[in-house]
Amino acid sequence: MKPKHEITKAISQFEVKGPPRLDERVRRHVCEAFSESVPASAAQVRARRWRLIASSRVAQVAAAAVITVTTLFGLRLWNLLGAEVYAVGQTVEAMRKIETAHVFCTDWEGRKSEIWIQPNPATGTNDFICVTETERDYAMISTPHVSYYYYPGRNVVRIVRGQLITSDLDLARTIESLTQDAHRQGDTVEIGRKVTDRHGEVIAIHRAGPASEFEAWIDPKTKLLLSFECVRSSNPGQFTKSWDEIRYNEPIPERLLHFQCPDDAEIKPEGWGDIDDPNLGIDVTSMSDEQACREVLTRLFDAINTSNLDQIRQLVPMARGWDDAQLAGAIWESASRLWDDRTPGVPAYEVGAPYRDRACPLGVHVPCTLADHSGRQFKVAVIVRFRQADGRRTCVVVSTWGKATPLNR
Amino acid sequence: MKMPSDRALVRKFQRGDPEALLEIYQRYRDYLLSVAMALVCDTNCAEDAVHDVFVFLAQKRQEFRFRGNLKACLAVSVVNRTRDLLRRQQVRAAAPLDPDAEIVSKSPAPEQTAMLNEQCRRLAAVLGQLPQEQREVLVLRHKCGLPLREIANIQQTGISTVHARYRYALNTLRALMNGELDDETEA
Repeated sequence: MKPKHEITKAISQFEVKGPPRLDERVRRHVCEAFSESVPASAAQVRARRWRLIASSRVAQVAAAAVITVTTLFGLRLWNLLGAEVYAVGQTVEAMRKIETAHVFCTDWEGRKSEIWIQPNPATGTNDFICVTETERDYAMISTPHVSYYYYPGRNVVRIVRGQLITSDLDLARTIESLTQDAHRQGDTVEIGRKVTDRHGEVIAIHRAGPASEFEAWIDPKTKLLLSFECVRSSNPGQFTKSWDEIRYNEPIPERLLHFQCPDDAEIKPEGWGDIDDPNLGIDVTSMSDEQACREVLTRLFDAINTSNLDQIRQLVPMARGWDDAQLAGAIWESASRLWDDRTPGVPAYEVGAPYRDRACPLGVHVPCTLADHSGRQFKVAVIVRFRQADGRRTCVVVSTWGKATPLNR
Repeated sequence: MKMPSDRALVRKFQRGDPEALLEIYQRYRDYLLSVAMALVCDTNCAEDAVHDVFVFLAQKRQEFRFRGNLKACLAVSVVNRTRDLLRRQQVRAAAPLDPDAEIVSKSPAPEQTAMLNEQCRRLAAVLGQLPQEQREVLVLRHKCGLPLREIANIQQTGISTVHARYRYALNTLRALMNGELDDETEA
């Protein structure tokens, strides 16, 4: 056997020479770390400057100008400026140009899902979207003309006319809204460079406020979104917990893109009511937005309390896809999720002032406070959509936005 | 020209001078990279460990405290970081070395350098066959020069466990390396 001292000598003499690429990397990130860990007052000034850059309409031009200047004047200026030559508009623009996105998501229960998106650059809407959830034995495929809910385990396909409203997922707009309405919500937005285990160096957008906290990572080269996480939310149903990985411009599998119902599958044709059908909803021509929202929601809660299913279908087009038993069951299920005592109905409610959320294209959000029979209160946002046709202005209730959250439990 | 002491450089970088930290990096880069390389046998992972330690120091410069020997302090930080990286990335310890890695010896003679290059390569390969804890003990003991009692503190285990790890590691290495270095030296 080898003598011990030779082995110990070999270990002590073991030496690797550091490559130049490591020197460059360490220098760059050490300088950035020094420039980032500045006293609080300076950091606040920098954050304010960032907010200006993020929200400026000329941000892209300015950023491009800074890039040009730093390229001309050399690497050191780039190092000193570091993350600041970036504007959110660059990501929005880059994401408007993608052909497809393949997103791997995790929901708040830890369930994994995959989403395929094919946006239409001309219209900004999605020509194709497919959501598959293996754990829930479920796939949803939506195109402008026809949509499918496919349950492989049960071998059932539900066919729905037209595009599903739930398919309106716009990645670019999500990033835009991450920074744009922060000021109104009283949230802070910070943008900086970060080195991650998974992606290496990224541009990190961090938004935090009393109600929620988000972090998005952007590829510094392509400016495309790499991942997105809702770290904390007071309304956790509103967003998927995280988009763990996003792959761009991958071809969508043929079996999904041109979905064919399996020969032996049970087919269930269904139809949602059209949220833009002018015959549905109520006429609010002479009302302000706030009055209209209060009117339509008051009628809806009254209809729920009196189990007037036809009136519910008139006010909520999506409810038209269900027969009486299904609709009553859905109300019952909603009530049991909200109230522990499974008593349907909304004995007391208060409707707040509507506001717009850029992340939601379906309508305005109306914050409502609901109370159950024992007086416990919950808050929930309801989406109300306004339509204009034949000189009439009407509105319908689309759905809730996120889950109801208890106020005084 | 007199080189500034480690302590003086630490004071400078804590006052906000990145060049002082970069000088510390230049001073100990090869040593720290060797420690990391002996532990992970993966060029990229070793570079990540050294890089992360210095970036962390830059970020937490106000909180950085060291007693005694800066070199040993940095080596321990690298050991801890490699452990984290191995845990996270599940880098296989016995993965083959990157053929592009530039491995050299301290030996000044060119003919010996070439020979020791190969020795280093083989040593890394056999070190990779040891369990991580045993590898750490050997590297901390003979590359970093730490006493076994201090290694026990770093590994958060008893001194007898460290003794046993050291003994097992040496025996395994002696068996694995049997004849290899003799061949080289005879050649």
